[in-house]
Amino acid sequence: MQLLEFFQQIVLVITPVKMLVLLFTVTLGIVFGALPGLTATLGVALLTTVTFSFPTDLAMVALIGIYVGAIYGGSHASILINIPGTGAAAATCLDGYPMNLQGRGGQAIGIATLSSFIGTFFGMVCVQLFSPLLIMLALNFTSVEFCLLGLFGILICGSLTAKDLPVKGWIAGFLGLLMAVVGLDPIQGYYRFTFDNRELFGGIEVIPVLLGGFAIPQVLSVMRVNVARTQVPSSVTKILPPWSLWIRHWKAVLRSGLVGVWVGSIPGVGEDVAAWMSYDVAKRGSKTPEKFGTGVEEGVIAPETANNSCIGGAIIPLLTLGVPGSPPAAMLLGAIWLHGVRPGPMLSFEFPHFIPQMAATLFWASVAMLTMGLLMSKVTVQVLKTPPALFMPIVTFFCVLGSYALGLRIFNLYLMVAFGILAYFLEEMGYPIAPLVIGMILGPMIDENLRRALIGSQGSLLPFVTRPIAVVLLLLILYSLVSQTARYRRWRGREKRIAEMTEQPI
Amino acid sequence: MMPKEKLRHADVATSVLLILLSVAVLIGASQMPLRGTYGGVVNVWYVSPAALPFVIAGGLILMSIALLRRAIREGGHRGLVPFFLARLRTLPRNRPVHRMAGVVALLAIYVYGMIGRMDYFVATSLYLVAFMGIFAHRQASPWAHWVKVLILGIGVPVVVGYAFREYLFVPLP
Repeated sequence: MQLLEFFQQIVLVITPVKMLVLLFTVTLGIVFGALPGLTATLGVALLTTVTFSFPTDLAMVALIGIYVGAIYGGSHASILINIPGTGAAAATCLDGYPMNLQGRGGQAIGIATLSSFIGTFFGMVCVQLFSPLLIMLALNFTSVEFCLLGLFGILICGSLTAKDLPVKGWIAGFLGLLMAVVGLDPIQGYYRFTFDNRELFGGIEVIPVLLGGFAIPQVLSVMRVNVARTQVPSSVTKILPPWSLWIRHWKAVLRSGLVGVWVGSIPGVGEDVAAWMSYDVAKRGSKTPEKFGTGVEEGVIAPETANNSCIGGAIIPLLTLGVPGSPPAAMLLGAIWLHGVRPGPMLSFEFPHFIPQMAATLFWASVAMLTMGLLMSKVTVQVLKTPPALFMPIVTFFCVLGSYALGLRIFNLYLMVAFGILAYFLEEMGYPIAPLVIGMILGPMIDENLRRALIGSQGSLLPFVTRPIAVVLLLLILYSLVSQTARYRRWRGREKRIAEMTEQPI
Repeated sequence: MMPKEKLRHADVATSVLLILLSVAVLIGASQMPLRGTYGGVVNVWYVSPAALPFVIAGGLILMSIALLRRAIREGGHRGLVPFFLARLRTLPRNRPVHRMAGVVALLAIYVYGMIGRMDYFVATSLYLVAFMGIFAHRQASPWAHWVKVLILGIGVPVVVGYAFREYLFVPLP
């Protein structure tokens, strides 16, 4: 039944207008992804403003298009100039750029394009297969589970995105929660931390924080270095790789697809981690791991399949639980809210066609990405020659437009700039921004469900430790905290050494 | 991100700031209705709007203490004042910081000083022309440089702004 609905949507979802919008947004996404400093999150954020007045289905087509295009587009810069266009394409540099140096740049782009297509397609299949299962599970969730799920999302995102210490990721998540409680309390109508400022009565809006948090630090980092122009090869040739390549590497493709979907389904982690993890898994599983980093095809296939299959993975918890799986998905969630759709377990009852529509849109986005990706490889060579000092101020101009357009408040602009500068310093000191944003998005869910759960149990904490799903989530939270401690790591190291010693022949 | 040694110095300072912030949140939360009746609702501690702020402040205090402990264990507290003084002393010669400060200053003037006080297109064009004019690397001919800057600086806000307002119905500041 679900499958039939999906096939119907594949036909219904696409009209000439939507196809044009999809081709345009995928192209825009590829340009965004290819230009170092412009990310998929930023692309989705900026397009949210533009698509605000569109019908919901057309807006979703545009947003999915730019999301898929930007995650893929990063590979062009990685391969051609050894600078990842987005974080998701950083792992592609390792083998993509050496392939370019060997005169196989065109082939590397072809492999990245087809891998990204397969990855997106794989993610789309998983959205269609696993969303109903997760909805069935989520229908058993009560306030207790939703509160713990939100907390788990923030903590795991903090652990996995912190480049320095995991505790900094958790602190960033809690700062996001703190920002979420500012404004009118939804249960009692009490103004929290507003300091009698009317602008704060409605709370802090997510879009200016997202734009400021992701765009301004990027602009400042790029302008701090301010290179005149990047060295780009004059052209690329021989793009399509031979079919035998895919037969040779089918296992790597499948494995990377699974890694991408799995990482994507973890709240807030995203495409960067998926690509690195997949590269690592491919290297460990290879018969010739020593060749990785010298320009092997598998080194491009693994990260590019994973980062695009991660999109489907990130959309699964977004649609079924209302918890975004990656920073661009967080932005997508904001856009879906703006269109009056509330993702969560009730989504398939309130909007029965929404999930198959999203899966069908992903399918068409993957087709558009394949077409445009193969056609555009020569264009991106020219795009990459744009000096950063010319496009970075235009990025800030779009941020100003985006921050203002949704709330129509000048205060949002002030907030966006101030928060952007703060985010830059936080990033410099090793505090990741993704958990902060996830904290802000999940804050209302945690707040309401924590209090509802306690009202239901009349202040007793017992449901948190007696309900089976809650216990699983609580154990996951404890594990995500304990596994990051030095004592646990020392213990794991000792266990590993003992295991190695017992395996040695006497 | 800063190098590890500098990070630990910064961690000492930020963890102390975070503890102070958390204490301020605790004080703010303790002033919220915890019992009695508010908005027609009889309050008990678990219905109170202060419930989550207490959890957040408590968590932040614990995590900040853990961060401070780690930073001190790795020697972040040693030479803290000389570290900040040395950073201040190198500021006049630090070109990347100057560039960044220039970008922040332009953005601040644009957003806090110009938008809402003058025509949006004029404000945006001035900002873009100033930004590109100052930071874009000069070409052989200064004329070519300024022609490009002026075309982009005036053309982008006019074309994009017009398209946003007229075709996409997105209001401008």
